[in-house]
Amino acid sequence: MLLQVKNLNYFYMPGTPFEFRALNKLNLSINKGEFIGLIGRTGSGKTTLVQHFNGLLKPTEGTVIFKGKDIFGTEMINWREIRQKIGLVFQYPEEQLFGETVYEDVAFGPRKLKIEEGIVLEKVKQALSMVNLDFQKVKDRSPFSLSRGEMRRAAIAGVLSMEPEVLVLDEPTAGLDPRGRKHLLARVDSFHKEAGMTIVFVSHNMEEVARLATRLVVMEGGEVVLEGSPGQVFEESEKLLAMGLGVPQVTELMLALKKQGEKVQTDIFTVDKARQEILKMLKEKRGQLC
Amino acid sequence: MKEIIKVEGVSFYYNYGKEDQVLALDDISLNINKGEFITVLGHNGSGKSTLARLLNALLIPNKGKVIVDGLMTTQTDNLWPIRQTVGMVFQNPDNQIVATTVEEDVAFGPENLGIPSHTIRERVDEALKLIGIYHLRQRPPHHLSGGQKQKLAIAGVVAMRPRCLILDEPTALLDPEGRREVMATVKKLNREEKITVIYITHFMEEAIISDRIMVMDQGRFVMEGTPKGVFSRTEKLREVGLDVPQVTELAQILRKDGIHLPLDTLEIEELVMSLCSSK
Repeated sequence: MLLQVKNLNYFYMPGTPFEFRALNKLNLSINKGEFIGLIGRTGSGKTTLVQHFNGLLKPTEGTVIFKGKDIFGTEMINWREIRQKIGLVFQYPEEQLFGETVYEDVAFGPRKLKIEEGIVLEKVKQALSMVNLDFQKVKDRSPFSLSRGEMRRAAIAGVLSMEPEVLVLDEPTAGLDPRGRKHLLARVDSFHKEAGMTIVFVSHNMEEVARLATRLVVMEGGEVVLEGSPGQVFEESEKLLAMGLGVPQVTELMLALKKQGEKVQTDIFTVDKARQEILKMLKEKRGQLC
Repeated sequence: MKEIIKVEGVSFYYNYGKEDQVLALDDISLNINKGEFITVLGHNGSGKSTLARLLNALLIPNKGKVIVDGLMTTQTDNLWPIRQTVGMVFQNPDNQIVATTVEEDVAFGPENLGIPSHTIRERVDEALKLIGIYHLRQRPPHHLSGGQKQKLAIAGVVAMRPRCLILDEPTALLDPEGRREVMATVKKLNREEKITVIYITHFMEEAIISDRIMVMDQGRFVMEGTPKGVFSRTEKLREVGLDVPQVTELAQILRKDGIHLPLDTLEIEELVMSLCSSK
């Protein structure tokens, strides 16, 4: 087990009239190499939870254990090391770009590790290639001259250059157009499949996350309310809809067909699977007629 | 007069006349009829937002003209009446909120028009009720959800009584529930209040309720038609970096499998009906 969240409670503004419980005795375990889709409505506690992973927030109660070490325990913790190993990409990371050039920006993290510039250069090159930005073309450009999608990828490269073991992305596709979204999703998939990173992908878009994740974790009111493989979670599609989460259009279609009395499975979230299921359904109907 | 907005042969360059000038709109024309609901689709950089800003004179065309309710946007005297006719809602609600309570925020626009205070009160209450956030009127805006904040932004514009509303990706930053709330509000303003709507988005499913879809690419209109007409041309849409809704794509694939389905299936209910009656 790589990362374990134990009985985590978190209150915003405790002891004031605005006290708000954001996390409620939350437990979660993440194994090495998993791709977790963390799903929930705005305000369900997703961002609060991931900000505990590297100590940006301190639990009101409970703790987080990373590689067997209690990071909020009594032991002295090297936070620099934790934050290098658990990379956090915030919402709209492009708003945090600050370097005069893309190179300066991506090199900022590795330079803080006090390593030789030659190694920094290698890390920057590697990180930019992982997000599919051409090193020669972008290294001397201002990050602010890039398109929105490119800026976001440059910002993600700034986290990748630290070579994290766990990469947490908070709503990484929000505000991107379909082309930018598709491109970024393909990159994130490659971080998982090719670079072998453990991924936590925070999203309220079921459709995109369902296709990539190995496990989905659904949050509501600061608690984990559903958990399992995408197929298992989509079996509870009605529950998801009731929580105000969008399910893919084809999932809604299958639910509607079932309601009409058709014998179909409803744990379906891709067009291809829906096609197979409908063809099967039609074949059986025809069979009965003969 | 049937049209509320006329765009005639408009070109627009950023940094016009400078070395680094960029062509954003390339000789486009468009007539928008009173009461129409138009969706403008296109990927980032296709010119959608530039077009929106030309329609209420935030930008002025370098070539061609934009006429709003008979008024040219190039004349500075026309700016106030034009901006009162055409209200605009942007992507990020946090950038559009100015006051410390919901009702004060909605009052900001009418106050700036110099309207007497009892009339402002009426207009604010009317806008809050119309948008369905009257119960939140004394809340501080930063305690609202994303969808509620965006509805507040819309109420602020509605209190100015515009006849035309431009929304530039109003749901891009919202979760599914917030998106549904905003879509329902916009639909109501169009259907019941007869406000002309120009809706910019890259969520294809949101375009389904419009009367007409305009697809932009590289500063030009490349497709135009009803939702059914536009979404039945999957290949063309993909060419310009857009997708069709899942249900439309599925219906098209099933047709190729030899299942008898109408070409232009857009909504889940339509497909369910076709499939259930299929033998």
